[in-house]
Amino acid sequence: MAAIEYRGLRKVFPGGAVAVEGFDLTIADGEFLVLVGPSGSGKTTVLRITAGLEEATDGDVLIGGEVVNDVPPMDRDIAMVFQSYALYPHMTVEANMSFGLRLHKVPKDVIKERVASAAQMLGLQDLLHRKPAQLSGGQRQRVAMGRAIVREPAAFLMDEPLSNLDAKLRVEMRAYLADLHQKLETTTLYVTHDQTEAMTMGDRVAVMRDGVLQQVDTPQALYDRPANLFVAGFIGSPAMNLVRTRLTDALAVTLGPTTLDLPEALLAKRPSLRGHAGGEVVVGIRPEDLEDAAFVPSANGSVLDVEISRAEPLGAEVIAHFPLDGIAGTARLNPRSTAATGKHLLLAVATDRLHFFDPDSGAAIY
Amino acid sequence: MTSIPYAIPRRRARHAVARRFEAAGPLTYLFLILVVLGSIFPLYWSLVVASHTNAAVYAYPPKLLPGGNLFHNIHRLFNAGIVNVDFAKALANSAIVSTVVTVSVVFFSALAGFAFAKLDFRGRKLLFVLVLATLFVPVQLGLIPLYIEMKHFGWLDNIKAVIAPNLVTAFGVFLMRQYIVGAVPSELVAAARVDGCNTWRVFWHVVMPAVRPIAAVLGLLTFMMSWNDYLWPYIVLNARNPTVQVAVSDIATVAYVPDYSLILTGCFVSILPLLAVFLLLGRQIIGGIMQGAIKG
Repeated sequence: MAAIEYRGLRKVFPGGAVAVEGFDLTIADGEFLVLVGPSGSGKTTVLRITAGLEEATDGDVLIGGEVVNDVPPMDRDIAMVFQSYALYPHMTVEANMSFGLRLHKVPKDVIKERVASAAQMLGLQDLLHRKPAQLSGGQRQRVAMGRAIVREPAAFLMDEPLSNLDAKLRVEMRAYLADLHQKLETTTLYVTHDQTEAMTMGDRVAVMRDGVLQQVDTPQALYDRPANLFVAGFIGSPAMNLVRTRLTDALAVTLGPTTLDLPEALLAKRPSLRGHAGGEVVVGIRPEDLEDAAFVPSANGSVLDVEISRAEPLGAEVIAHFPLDGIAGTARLNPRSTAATGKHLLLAVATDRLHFFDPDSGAAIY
Repeated sequence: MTSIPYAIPRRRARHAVARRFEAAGPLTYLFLILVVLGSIFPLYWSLVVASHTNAAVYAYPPKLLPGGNLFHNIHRLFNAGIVNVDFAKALANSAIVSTVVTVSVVFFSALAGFAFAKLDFRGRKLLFVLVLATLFVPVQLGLIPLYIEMKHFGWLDNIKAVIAPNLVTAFGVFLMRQYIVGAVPSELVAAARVDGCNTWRVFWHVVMPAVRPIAAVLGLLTFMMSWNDYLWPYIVLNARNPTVQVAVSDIATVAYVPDYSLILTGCFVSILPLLAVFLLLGRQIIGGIMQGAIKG
């Protein structure tokens, strides 16, 4: 096992497209770090540079404390799991799993032992003599994992390994991978565009946008204290409601016809907010911080009167959509809420959990 | 009585159309039989002429059924005292030339195709265009410079002169490159690199197994072209060391009155190895083609 470190990583593709810019990050030994971002954010490029499949234009990659910029992929002591699994179609499951070891001239009895152990761990014992075409998507995914595990590498690199699975299998494999990591404790860099995967699997999550690292933190900290508008909008489903408004001199915000006074507890958590009094801010409200006022007796006037444009009863909750100061607002309501399409509803706002951002820089105001 | 939904007759109509396309009717069979007969006739006619005496070739009405002279004619063909060429040597030469050229074309075409399809290097596009451009140069244009080159190497009258210029073909490189682009995902190459393959091992362990279907097709086409090649071997070889096509032409030109039964015996015998390749490997080759066509 080994730590992975990036120092001022930069990647410019021929033609001038900047894929990664000023990327500094350290993944601790044994940590499971998820790199998340929308398509084209540069996360896969970082992964490929780590694997040695892509050359960095600038900066260093260190694995186990050693700069590996000029080390070929085979000598980096890493194993990679690909989105399409990339299993060798002409080889059996056993041959696929042992291929890397055979190339590294590992003794045959060791190969046999490791393949058997990984196959048992992944439930592949009965499939060892099948070829990839004879396997289901989930089985192929496990073979791809097995191929990485038998190498006993210093680090795992995973490039959206669950994105080709159906929703049910994806949930199962998510838990499976998390368990596996607990068992093996191998440093893992996991790339995904799915923020649910990021939040549920990572010890820490790194959010990228346009090649630039936006924030790195634990999933909960990322959710509770997003560093900027992008992270706030990207992490969380449904996404945070972001409304541009004015912060009055008396430290209140106006949303539609309603003025919400900011509680002392919030101002204590965000002391810089006082410096924005009288100026414009972007207010962020998580959908779960809005509730049908009928279920919040202590709303104390922090209530918005909205017209529901669509209500989606999901059983455990009701997702309500409504227009709010020019944006499409979303609230996650109690399942017994009477919210219905076309009806007015009073929404209680948890004002102590509001988020604030600078409208010009997009940075969070703390 | 319940009403019949409109969808049922429509579906039937669709099935009827599908059946019409799927099931071959008598006209289709008749057409296919005619095509097969037309294709087989030259071979059959060779056999008929090869199994009679030369005098019988000129008989009227023409003899349409095989005679009993085939083995006698084959014996004459391989008897150096009767014909002026060593036919056994010609067959062996053709087998060597065709095998070496086929193996070489498949191997080098796959290697170059892999490089053009999956490796990043400066000038890749330009080089590929240059390779393709050679397809547009007529073969006849290269005969004289190639002949001078072979003479310079001292390879005239030697099968090396037939093998060397055909070791790799632009068509083969093009075919392989196009196939590899689609059949070998870049992630597979990346996986092999991470697993410990250098470029050669990626080619050998990952690309070669993946191109087997198209390699079988290219191999068969190359073997046929090489076996049937006449012009270039005729220029650089002589009657003492010919390929089979040159040997047949030498039989044809030796006497004032051509011995057609002997010539067509030569033709018939020269076709047998190709037929054997088809009969022995046909199923594997077609299986390979189908395997490549259907993705798992």
